Amino acid sequence: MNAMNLPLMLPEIALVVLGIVVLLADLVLPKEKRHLLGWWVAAAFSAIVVYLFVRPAAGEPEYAAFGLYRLDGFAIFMKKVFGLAGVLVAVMSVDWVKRHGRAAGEFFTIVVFAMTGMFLVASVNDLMSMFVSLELVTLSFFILAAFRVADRISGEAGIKYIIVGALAAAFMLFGTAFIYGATGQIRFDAVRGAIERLAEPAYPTLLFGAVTLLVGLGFKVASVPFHVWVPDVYQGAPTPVTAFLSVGSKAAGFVLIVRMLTLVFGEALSNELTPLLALTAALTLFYGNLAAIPQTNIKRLMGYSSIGHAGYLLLGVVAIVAMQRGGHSYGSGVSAIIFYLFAYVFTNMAVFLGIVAFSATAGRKHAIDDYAGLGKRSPFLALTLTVALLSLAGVPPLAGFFGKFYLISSVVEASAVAGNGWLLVLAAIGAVNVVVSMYYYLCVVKRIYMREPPENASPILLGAPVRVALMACMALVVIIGIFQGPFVKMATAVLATIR
Amino acid sequence: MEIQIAHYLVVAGILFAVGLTGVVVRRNAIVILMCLELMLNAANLALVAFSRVHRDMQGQVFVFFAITVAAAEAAVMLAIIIAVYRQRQTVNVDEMDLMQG
Amino acid sequence: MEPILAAAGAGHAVAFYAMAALAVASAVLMMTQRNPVACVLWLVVCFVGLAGLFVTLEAYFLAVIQVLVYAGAIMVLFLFVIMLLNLRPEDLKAVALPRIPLVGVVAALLLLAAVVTVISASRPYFGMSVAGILAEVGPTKDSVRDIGLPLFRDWLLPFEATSILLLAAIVGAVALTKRKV
Repeated sequence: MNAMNLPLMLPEIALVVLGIVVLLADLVLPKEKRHLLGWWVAAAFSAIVVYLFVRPAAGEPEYAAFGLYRLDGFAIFMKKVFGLAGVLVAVMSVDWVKRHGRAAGEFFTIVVFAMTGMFLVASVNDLMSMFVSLELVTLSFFILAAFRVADRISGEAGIKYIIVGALAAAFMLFGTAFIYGATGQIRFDAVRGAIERLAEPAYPTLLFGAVTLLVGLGFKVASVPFHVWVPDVYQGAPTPVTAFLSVGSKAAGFVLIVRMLTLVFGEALSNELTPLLALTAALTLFYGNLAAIPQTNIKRLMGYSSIGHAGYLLLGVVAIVAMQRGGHSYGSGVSAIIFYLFAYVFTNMAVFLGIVAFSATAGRKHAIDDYAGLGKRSPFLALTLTVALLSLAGVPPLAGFFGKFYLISSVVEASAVAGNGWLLVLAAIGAVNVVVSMYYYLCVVKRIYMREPPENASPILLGAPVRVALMACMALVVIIGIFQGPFVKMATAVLATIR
Repeated sequence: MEIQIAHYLVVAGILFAVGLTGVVVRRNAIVILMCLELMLNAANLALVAFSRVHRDMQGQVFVFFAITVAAAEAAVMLAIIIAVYRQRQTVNVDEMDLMQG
Repeated sequence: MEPILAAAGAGHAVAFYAMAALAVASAVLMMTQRNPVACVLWLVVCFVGLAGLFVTLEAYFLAVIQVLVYAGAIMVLFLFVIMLLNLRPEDLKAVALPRIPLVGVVAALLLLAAVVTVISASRPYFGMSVAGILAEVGPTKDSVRDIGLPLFRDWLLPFEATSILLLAAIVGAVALTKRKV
C-alpha cells in the first residue's frame, strides 16, 4: 500500500496525455478538420477499454499512490462502462461539433478531462481525492453544458447547473470536514477503522457529516429534493453533453455512494440512514415519473426520466444500508445497482444517439410531436428508439425490466433480512412507478408509429458510425435482457471484490 | 471563559447557514457565487479547527485543495456569467426562464 | 515562532470573539447588500476575519493564503467581472431581498435549522480548549513545512488531480468567453 505504483494508474495517465495532445493538436490542425479530433478521442477511449479488458485481473484490490488509489473489480468495471459511454459520446459529438463549429479542440479536451475525473472517481480511496476528482467531473460538465454560449438556453443551463453543482460541492466539503472531525482520518480504510472504535459522544458529529455528504452526492445523482437543476440542464445543454451528463454524473455519484456505504460507514449509520434514504427514494420515484407525464420536449422528458431512474437506483442503496444492520450480507443490493447501471448507461446512450441523429435532420426543437411518423421516415431509427424506450420503461424481456426486477427484489430481501415491513411498501412503490413510467414512454412510441409524418418530411439520414453505435447499444439492451445469466454473474464477480 | 473548538464550529455553522440563505434568497448570479464561496470558507474553518482537535495537518492540507477547487469554480462560473450577459444583458437568475414545464 | 496566543489566555478569547464577530457581521452584510460591489468588499472583510480565526488556531500559513489568494486574487477577479459587466442601476434594484414574505420566513427557518444542527453536531467539542491543545502540541515552528511536506508526499494524487482541474478550468473559461474561435 505504501508505494507510488505508477503502472497501475496507466489509464488515468493515458487520459491526461490524451487531453493535452488534443489541446495541442487543435493548434496545428486547420479549422475545418478539428472536429475529426473526436475520432481520435473515440479511438483512444476504445484502446483504454480494450486495455482494461485484457489487463490481467488481480483477485485482491491493488493500491497505488500511497494507498489513495484503489483498483478493484468494481473500479475496473465502472471504468469500462465509463470508457464505452465515452466512445459513444465522442461518436455523437463529432457531427454536432462539425455543425456548430465552435472550439472543437477545447470541447474534446474537456470531454477527456471529464473522463479522467470519472476514472479517478471509480478508484479513489480517500476523502480528499474524492472531493477533488468529483469536482473535476462536475467542473468539466459545467463547461460542457454551457458550451454553446451563442444558444441562449445553453448558457442558462450552464448557470443553473453551476449554482446547484457548487452548492453540492459546499455540502460535500462541509460533510467531509465533519467526518474528518469525528474520526481524525482521511483515507477510507482508516476512517472505517476509526468509526469502528468511535467514542459514543462523537457519533452525532459523524452522522451530521455523513448526511451532509450524502446531500451533496444527492445533487449529483439527481435525487429529490436536490433535482431542481435536472430538467433545465438536460434541456438546455448540447445533446451529446446531455447524454454524457445523464450517465456520467449519475454513475459517478452512485459509485461514490456505494463506496461510502460499503468501504467507510459500514453498519454504523444503518439505523439512521435507512428511513432517510427510503423516503428519498420514494419521493424521487414519484416526482420523476409523475412530472415526466405532461412533458412536450424529449430532452426535458429524459431529464425527468433520469430523476425517476435515480429513484430506482436508490432502492438498491436502501437495500444495502438496511441489510448492513446486524452485519448481514448486502450483496444483492450492490449487484442490483451494478446490473442496473450497466443496462441504464447503454439504454440511455441509445436514446440520446437517436435524438442527436434525429435532430440533425429534423431541427433542434426536440419537441416530442416532431417524432410523429418516425416509423415511416426511418424504420431503423424508430426501431432502436422504441427498443431503448421500452427498456427504460421496464418492458420484459429487455435489460431495463430485469434491472428494475433485481432492484425491487433486493429491497424485498432487505425487508425480510432486516425485519422491516416498511421496506415492502417501498418495493410496492417501486413497482407502481414502473407502471406509471410506462405511460409516458409509450406515448413517445405511439407518436413514432401511430401518427402520420408531417407532409414535407424528409427521410432521416444516419451516418455509418452512428448506425453502428445504435446497433451495438440495441444489441446490448436485447442481449442483456434475454441472456442475463452472464451479466448477473459479472455483477456478482464485481461484488466479490468490493469489500 | 476559555475558547473551545466548538466555538469555531459554531462560527463555521453560522457562516455556512448565512451563505446557504444567500444562495436561496439572492437573485444576482454573481452574489450567489459569492455566497457559495462563503459556504466553502465555512467548511475550511471547520477543517482547520478539526485539524487542531486531531493534532495533525491533514485538515489543513484539505483546505488547500478546497481553496483551489473554489478558485477554479469561480473562474468557470464568472466565464459563464460573462458569456450569458453578452447574450441577455442580465445576471438575474429570475429572468432565466426560457425553459418551463 | 513563539506561540503568540496559546499562553495568552484572555487575549486568545478577545482575539477569537473580535475575529468571529467581524467574520459573521460582514458575512451577513454581504448577503443583504444590494450593490454587488459592496457585497464583494464585505466578503473581503469576512475573509480577513476568517484569516484572523486561522491565526488564533495557529494555522499561520493558511491565514496568509486566505488573505493573499482569496481576499486578494479571487475577490479582485469578482470585482473585475462586476466592473466589466457594467451592471445598470435597475439590475442593482432587482437584486433586493425577497419580495415574498414566505421566502424570507423559509430562509430564516433554514438558517436557524442549519445553525442548530451544526451546534448539536459539535457537542463533543465543547470542553475541548483550544489554548490547551495549542499548549500541548507546542509552538508552531514552520507551518509551511508542516503543510508542504505531506502535500507533495502523502497527498500527491489529489495534488495532481487538482492540476488537471485547474487546466480544465482555464481551457473552459477561455473557450466559453472568446468570441471568435
